[in-house]
Amino acid sequence: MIRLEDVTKTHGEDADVVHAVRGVSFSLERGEFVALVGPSGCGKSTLLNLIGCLDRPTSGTVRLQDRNVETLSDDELATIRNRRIGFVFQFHNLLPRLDAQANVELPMLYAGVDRAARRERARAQLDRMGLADRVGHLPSQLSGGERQRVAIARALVMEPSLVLADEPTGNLDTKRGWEILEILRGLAATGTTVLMVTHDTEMAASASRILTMRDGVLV
Amino acid sequence: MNPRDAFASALDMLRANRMRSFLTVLGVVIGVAIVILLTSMGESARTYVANLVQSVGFGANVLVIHPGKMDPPIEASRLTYQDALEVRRRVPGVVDVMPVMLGTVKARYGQKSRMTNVWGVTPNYPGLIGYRTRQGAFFDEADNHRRKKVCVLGEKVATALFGRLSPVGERIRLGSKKFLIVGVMEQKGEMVGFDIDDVIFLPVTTASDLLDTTRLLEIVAWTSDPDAVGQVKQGIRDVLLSRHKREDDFHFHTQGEVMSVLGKVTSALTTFVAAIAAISLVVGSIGIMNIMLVSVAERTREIGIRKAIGARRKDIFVQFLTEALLISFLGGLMGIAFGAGLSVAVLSLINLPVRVTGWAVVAAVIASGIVGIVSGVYPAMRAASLDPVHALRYE
Repeated sequence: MIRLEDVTKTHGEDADVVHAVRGVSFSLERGEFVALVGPSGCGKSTLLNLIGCLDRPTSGTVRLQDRNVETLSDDELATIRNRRIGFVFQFHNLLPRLDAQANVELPMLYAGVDRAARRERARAQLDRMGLADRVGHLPSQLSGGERQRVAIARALVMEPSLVLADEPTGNLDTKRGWEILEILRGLAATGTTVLMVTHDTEMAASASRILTMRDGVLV
Repeated sequence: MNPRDAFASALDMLRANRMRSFLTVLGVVIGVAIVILLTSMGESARTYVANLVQSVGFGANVLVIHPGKMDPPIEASRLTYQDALEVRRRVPGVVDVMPVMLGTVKARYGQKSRMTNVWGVTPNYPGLIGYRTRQGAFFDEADNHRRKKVCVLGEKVATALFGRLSPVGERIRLGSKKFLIVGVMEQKGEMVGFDIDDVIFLPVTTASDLLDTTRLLEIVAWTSDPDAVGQVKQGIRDVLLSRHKREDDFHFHTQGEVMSVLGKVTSALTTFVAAIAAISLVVGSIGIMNIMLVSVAERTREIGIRKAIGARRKDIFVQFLTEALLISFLGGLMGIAFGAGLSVAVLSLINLPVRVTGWAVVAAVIASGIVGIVSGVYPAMRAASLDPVHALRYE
């Protein structure tokens, strides 16, 4: 469903140029649960941004369901992120002034879903994450695990085909971390492709495939 | 994002930063409030003067002749009732004249007394001014001609001396002489700080006897044609000069002159208000733009998150522009409310009719809309054009 062909990404110019990703090719299939591991600064986040259509490659091609990302405008990419991709970041992930409900409604706001449907779908999604009694809480009133589950609810509310999780358990204790991992695994089991960046080798081991990155290349 | 959602989101933002938002719009609030206050006062004064001019019968076809001169200064009045009669008789185009004599006298009835103004006028006075008696009748030409000791009481004098009793047919003492009350005027109210109800009207001849003078306060002349006022003025001038041994000891007032002075004052005021408004709104815009730029910087990460989950440029632009517009509109509304409240307070304190001008309110709303757009577009563009990857990395 997503295919990268000889993708490179450089930051900066001339003498200061940094090759964050250099010549990466791989593909993710529907329903795969893939772990991306590697030391800090190896280019994992850059790669994730490229896959997530937040960024464009310096060279090479990213194909999402056979559409070349290169040919799409910023707004078209925004729409793809909105409809096809769900993001879960490590932290500072929710808008602090919005309660759980409003955070989960956000992607639907940009998709033009009407108010009543937004409410209903956000509730259902939070309910599925076991947060039915937390809908009116602000992020600051939630525990770390709850916050991450709200973030997952938000990532899933548009029913994306690809979920990208950047160290989703990095901030949590082991027990909460595994709860989040179970949710992601469950997603893959129902046909959603999940790509997870992690430092935790044990968690990576529970994925169906492990991609290891070092100095901008997959090894 | 549809406009209603953008509005709701902007409102949330404002609520979350109440104090900051309030301080931000203070410039707009004060600017708009001053404009509303000053225009209300201007309008109120204009209405007041216009009403006044109307109510004393000072139409476009009216000439008022005042005794005295500014340069060289001549203070003593040499205008007499005879002058008024000659003006009516000899100047073509003059349809009516009314002499006015003014004095102060102590009026007494039984145990009650009151210091009050005496107006010596001719019987045409009530008809020319549109002023009616409440009871009895105004004195007539025969009373005036025979210098009869009759009087008509203003409403306030009648109440002060007679209470609920009927004064018509009674006699009161003015100074040392007794006068027959033939009528009581209807209530008219105060104008130019002068209480027209606290007055006793006498035939001008009788007033001359009572006050022991022939000097008039003024002569009011009516012309048949408002366009002929200039010509009539010259005619009156010729007659009065010949009667006053060629001495130019009087001057004229016309409605046109009064209105043109008023117009000058009003236009100076308008320019002044416009300048204040412009300055305060510019300062207000800068304040809002500044706080919007701060807000964009503070919320860089939020913008990144919004873009990551599917916000397009337009969505972010609309969100921030809506916030700026909402802030400045709220500022405008607060300014209107504040200015209107201040106008009511100030105007009722100084006893002027309360007028809050509609056009000033409309202008204030439009101006705050413009302020919102001017101050919001640039920060909104900055926000919309942020690169999501960089924005997300921002701490």
